[in-house]
Amino acid sequence: MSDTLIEVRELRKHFPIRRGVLQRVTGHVRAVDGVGFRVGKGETLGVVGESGCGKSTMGRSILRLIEPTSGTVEFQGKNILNLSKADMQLMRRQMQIVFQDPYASLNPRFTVAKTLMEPMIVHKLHDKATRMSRVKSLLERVGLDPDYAERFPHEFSGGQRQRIGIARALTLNPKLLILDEPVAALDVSVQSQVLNLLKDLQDEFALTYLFIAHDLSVVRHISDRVLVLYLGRMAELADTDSIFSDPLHPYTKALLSAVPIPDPDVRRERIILKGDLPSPANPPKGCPFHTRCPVAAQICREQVPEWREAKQGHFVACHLA
Amino acid sequence: MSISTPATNQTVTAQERSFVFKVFKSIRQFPMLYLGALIVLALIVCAVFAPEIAHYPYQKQFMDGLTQDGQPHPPNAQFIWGADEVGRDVYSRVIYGSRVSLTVGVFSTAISLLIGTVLGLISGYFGGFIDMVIMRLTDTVLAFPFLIFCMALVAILSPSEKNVLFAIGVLGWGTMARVVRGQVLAVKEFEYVQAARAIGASSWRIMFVALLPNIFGPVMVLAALNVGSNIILESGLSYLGIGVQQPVPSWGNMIAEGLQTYQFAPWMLWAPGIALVIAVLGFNLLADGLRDILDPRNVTR
Amino acid sequence: MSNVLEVNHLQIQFKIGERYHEAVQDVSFSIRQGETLGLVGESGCGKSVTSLSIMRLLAKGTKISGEVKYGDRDLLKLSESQMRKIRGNEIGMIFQEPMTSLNPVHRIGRQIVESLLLHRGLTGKRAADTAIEMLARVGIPRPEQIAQEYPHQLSGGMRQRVMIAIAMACNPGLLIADEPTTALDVTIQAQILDLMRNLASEHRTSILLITHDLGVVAEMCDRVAVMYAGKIVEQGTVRQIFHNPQHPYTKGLLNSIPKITGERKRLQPIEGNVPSLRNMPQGCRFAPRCPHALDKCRVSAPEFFEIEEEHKSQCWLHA
Repeated sequence: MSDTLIEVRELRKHFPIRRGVLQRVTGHVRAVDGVGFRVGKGETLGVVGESGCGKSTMGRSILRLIEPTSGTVEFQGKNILNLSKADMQLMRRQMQIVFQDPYASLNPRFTVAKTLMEPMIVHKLHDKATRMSRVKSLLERVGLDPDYAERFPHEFSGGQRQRIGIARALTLNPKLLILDEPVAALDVSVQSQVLNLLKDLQDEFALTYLFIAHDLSVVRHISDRVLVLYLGRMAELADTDSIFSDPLHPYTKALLSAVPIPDPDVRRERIILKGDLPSPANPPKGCPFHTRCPVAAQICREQVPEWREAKQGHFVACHLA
Repeated sequence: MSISTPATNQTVTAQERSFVFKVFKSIRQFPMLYLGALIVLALIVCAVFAPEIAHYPYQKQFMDGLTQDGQPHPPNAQFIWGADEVGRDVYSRVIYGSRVSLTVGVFSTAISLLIGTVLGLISGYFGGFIDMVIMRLTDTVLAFPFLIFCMALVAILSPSEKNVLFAIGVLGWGTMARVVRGQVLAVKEFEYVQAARAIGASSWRIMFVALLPNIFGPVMVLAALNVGSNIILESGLSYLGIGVQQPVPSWGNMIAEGLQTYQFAPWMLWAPGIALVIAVLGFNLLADGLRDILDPRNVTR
Repeated sequence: MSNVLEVNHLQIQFKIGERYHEAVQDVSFSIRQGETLGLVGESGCGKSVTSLSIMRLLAKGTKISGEVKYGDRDLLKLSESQMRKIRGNEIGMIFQEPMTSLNPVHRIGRQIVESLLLHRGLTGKRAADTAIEMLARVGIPRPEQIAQEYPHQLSGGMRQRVMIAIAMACNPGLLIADEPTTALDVTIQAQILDLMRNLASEHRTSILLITHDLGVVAEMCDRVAVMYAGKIVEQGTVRQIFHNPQHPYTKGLLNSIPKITGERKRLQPIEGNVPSLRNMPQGCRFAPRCPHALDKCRVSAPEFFEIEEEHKSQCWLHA
């Protein structure tokens, strides 16, 4: 595989739970609990999991939008978690984020031009005229009429806003984009437009994607490799084809079988998981999945499964796989 | 004054496009806002053009301002709202009095607005320990007996229009800071704030460039209300004799005089009193109207 | 089979500013006993508005015309008090967001009892027992305990089960489910769909399932109506719609979604955006986005063309 762009090791983010008048810390929500992976240059790593699995927290911790509790994040060999404020600010040019909600992620009082110029102003890049021409070319690149530059976000549809969000992330010519559910809030017919746009941009600008989503079909479509998270921990990591054709972890299997297929004649063996996701404040002992696992054995209740390479490039954390 | 959303590709009839129609529609939709704005505008005109609007200089005493037995003259053609007990024209003094009221109301609010907004922004945005310190400071300021503290402060600084204005402004930022902080707490959860952090914007830039315009609406409403209540406060201080000093007229010191002569010259009380009520009403209506049009739910497309 | 619900020429107009805008235009469909009809479309296509109008839950000032026949009664002509007897009793409804559709200050048990009391006159112990029985039927573990809890103590999936329990409490003839699983995770969605399917077949309840998820439609529905910009553009059995889609919009939708199986190839999106209510195109409302649009399409709106039995599509290409 190509050179590593970013490598995450043992990343943890524990949010303290405070209780009572004295606000004593009575426990921690282990939102992200020891996650590690590497993403190669130009690669797309899909991160899937259900709500509460820590995928969004992980994405934001990598960018230090949330300060992680421990671990390292190496970007081109440099650990960014101990960078100074000024160095981190410079580093932010290299890595950007696109958010899920195209309504909340654009400042309603900024015109499109202002939204897109802001990164250049913050980093003191270019003069005014160059900035404006860059805004126009970015708008054109993401498929919007450059004449829309002076309009406000509320004049656009969800899909158009998401294009603006993507253009903003591209303004500084980053190498890495963290895409946090970028199409989840969009209409079906618009989703595919944005997915195609993301693919094209990746080819054109040699971008590396960390694609966070809950929709498995979308992740399958866009990713080279896929990481499955459960309760803040890694369940399985492999290239897309192996994960979808030969999942090893029982959770991945259940997840895949739960996806409704838009074909009335395909009837699959469905694994219906019992119960709900346990609280990340109080994760089960042993394997975090054992409470819902259809094949759990005694060892699963006692020991945390090791992260191991079951097949070439196919990692899993399960005693039984 | 109305906030209209630019509509995209909407087919508009010629009738709708006409400016007169728009204004008419807007007045029908927000009558109170326009009434308030009208009053405030009238107040500003009075203050700015006082020498032109008033019939006489405010300090000028007239021999015929007093009756034969030395009482203030009731309203007549020369003194349309009557004269006071030293023979000055009440109408002219009310007009000049608007200067004090407006200056004190607006500038003291500006001071509170500045302090309140900055502290509220810092408090809400940073949270944690900083938030706690600023909020306890706010509680302290809000817990002061306001009038008494103003009296003390003005007494130390010596009574004058400038000092009244300063005292009201410096002590009045508590509510402002709380409202701003509350707004910041609500707005800072939006992802565009995180997006601003992601592009590397500094905290100051996020607070003043990204957040501030988004909390502007409620802050402006509060400011308009504040102008009204500060006008009352100034009158109160002047009434107590620690505000604007004679012979400069303020509605407050005019009311104080009027009370003493109420039995035989009620116009001396009525004229500044009604002026005060109308001015405060104007700012309150304006604030209410602003709340209506700044509320996104009321934006008609 | 007899029709449980028959909607004929439903027309809904909203007042925006000074003018009325057509949110739903000439919508007709029917649901047979024990059948699940899927109403599919993107946001703003009028699918939710249609369902709310059946329940007569739209805000005052909305103009509704047409006919909504439930059995032999036209729901649009009933008085408000007659309508109240139908809501929750003969027609149950579940919504997308189970948190906001449950009252946060009442215990779960009480909220089910409420419906039993209103429509079946059950009180006291009998009502409480029936409520617990309902909770057990929708697969809630420890129903006695859960009945004593408040909505915020439950997970999203559990809350949706409670909503289903409330909706099914009076054995309605029709269940309207408006995006019932959109807010849920896939594994929980699978549980809820499974539950709905089982309950419906047990009680021969008809379901009107409103969703944007074509996968859910394929899995749950017998027949499908595809809505676009306030109109039904294609209607047919689930196989006809998925295996032999006729309307360019239906085809476009099916082509544009990424699949979980098969070859991964570039998606074929429908270009453009969904038109807004105030800015509906002339003629066929899909014409501006349609790759096959003819001159005719931009001028006059097509009528339904029958493709085969049960299958009809509203497109000039069939002419």
